[in-house]
This record gives sequence, structure tokens and C-alpha cells, in this order.
Amino acid sequence: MDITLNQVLILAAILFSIGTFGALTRKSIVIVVMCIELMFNAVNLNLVAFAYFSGLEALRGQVFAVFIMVVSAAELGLCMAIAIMLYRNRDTIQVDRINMMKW
Amino acid sequence: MTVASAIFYFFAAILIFFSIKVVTTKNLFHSVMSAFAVLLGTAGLFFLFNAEFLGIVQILIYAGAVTILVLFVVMLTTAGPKYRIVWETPLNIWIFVFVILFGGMLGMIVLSIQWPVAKPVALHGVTEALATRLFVEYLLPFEVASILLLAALIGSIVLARRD
Repeated sequence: MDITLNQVLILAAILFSIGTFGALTRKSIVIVVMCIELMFNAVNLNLVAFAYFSGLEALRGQVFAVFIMVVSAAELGLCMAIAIMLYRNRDTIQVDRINMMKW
Repeated sequence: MTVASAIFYFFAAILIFFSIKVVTTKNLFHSVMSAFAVLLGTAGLFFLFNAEFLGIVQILIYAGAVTILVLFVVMLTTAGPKYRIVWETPLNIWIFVFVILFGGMLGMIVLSIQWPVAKPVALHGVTEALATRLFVEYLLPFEVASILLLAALIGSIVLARRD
């Protein structure tokens, strides 16, 4: 029995759901961003699997995975800078304590 | 069961176990290290799926740079006497139900579509083919991505600078 595309897609769906759960429930900004990275990761896994199982030599899925990596790296760098700035100004990085824009 | 299938199940078990650990563990450091394990496991799956370049990039950027950066931020923001750990959050049942339903929806979509699957072949020179694709067909998005990275770099420096 070989690997099928459905197995990989189900695995990526499970990983994406776990990442969603973490991003919605965790209180620390750092872990929320890490969970978003896990979701990006699941999507990358999907794209690489599509490129593999399409049987073509075009490798478009891998190209898109490269772009997703670029965007998620940029997003993570900015989020870490925002976390440091929030800690400096508000003394906490818990998402439920950062409510100055709520009225 | 073939060797590739066994490797796939091994990495899948690692990925699921450590992603659950990322979202459930109380310790921030353990959470980040579990995320490190998840990213490494994904790199292993990339190697399995003919994507050597992406696997190397995953190890270098995610497992190397991103984990170190996040660990630095963890150390910078959770130190000092002002910090109190209040990670014990009650499990919000509605979020749990939402995630279960969402995952079920994804699974049903995946299983209901007849994917046009071809027989996967072991390619040679994937990195060269990827570079050709990237620098010929997708040159403009590539340059835009470099501008995006530059903007993110400058933005992070401006945000995190102490003035």
C-alpha cells in the first residue's frame, strides 16, 4: 500500500485544525503566532503533496510553497517586533490583557 | 506496507503528537520546542515528497531562524518580576466544538473530491527545475516577495527599536 494524496490531505487538515485551536485558545502572543506558523506549515504540506502527486515536472506547488514561506517569515518577524513593543509598553504579552482599543 | 508509507506514518504520528503538545502544554519553552519538532517533521515529509530544496529551506529558516527568534522573544518578554504566569485557561467548549466541526468539514471536502492523481515519479534535479520555474515564470512575484521581506525587515527594526 502506497501513500495516497488523501492521506496527506487528511494529515494537513488535522494539523490545520490543531493550529486553529491553539491560535484561538492560547493566551500568549508568541504561542498564537507559533500556531499560525503551524497552519502555514499544513498548507505548505498540502502544496508540496499536490506538486508530488500531480506527476508533472512543472513544480508549481513547490513555487507557491516558497512564496508562503517568504510571507510567513515576514509576518513572524513583524509579530515578534510587535510582541517586544507591547511588553515594553504594557508589561504583558497576554492577549486578554491587551484591550486598550476596546470600549 | 512499503517503506515510504511507513516513513509517512512515522512522521505523521510525530507531527500530530507535537502539534497537540504545542497547543496544550503550559510551559512556553516546551511549546516552542514542540513547534520546532513539528517544523522538522514537516521538513522530513518534504524530503519524502521530492522537495529537497524546500526541505533544506524549512530546516534552515523555520527550524533554525524562526525558532531562535521566537525563543529570544520568549526570553525577553517573560523575564523579570513584573511577569506572572497565568496560562491556566479554562477550555472553551465552543472553540473546541468549532474546531472539531471545522476539521470535519475539511476532511469531508478532501474525501468528497475526486482528485486527478497521477503516478508520482522520483524526479531528478528538482532544485534546478524549481529555480527555472521561479526565475523565468514567476520572476515578478519573486521580486515583489523580496520587497515584502525588505519592508518587513525595516518595519521590525523600527517597531522594536528603543528610542
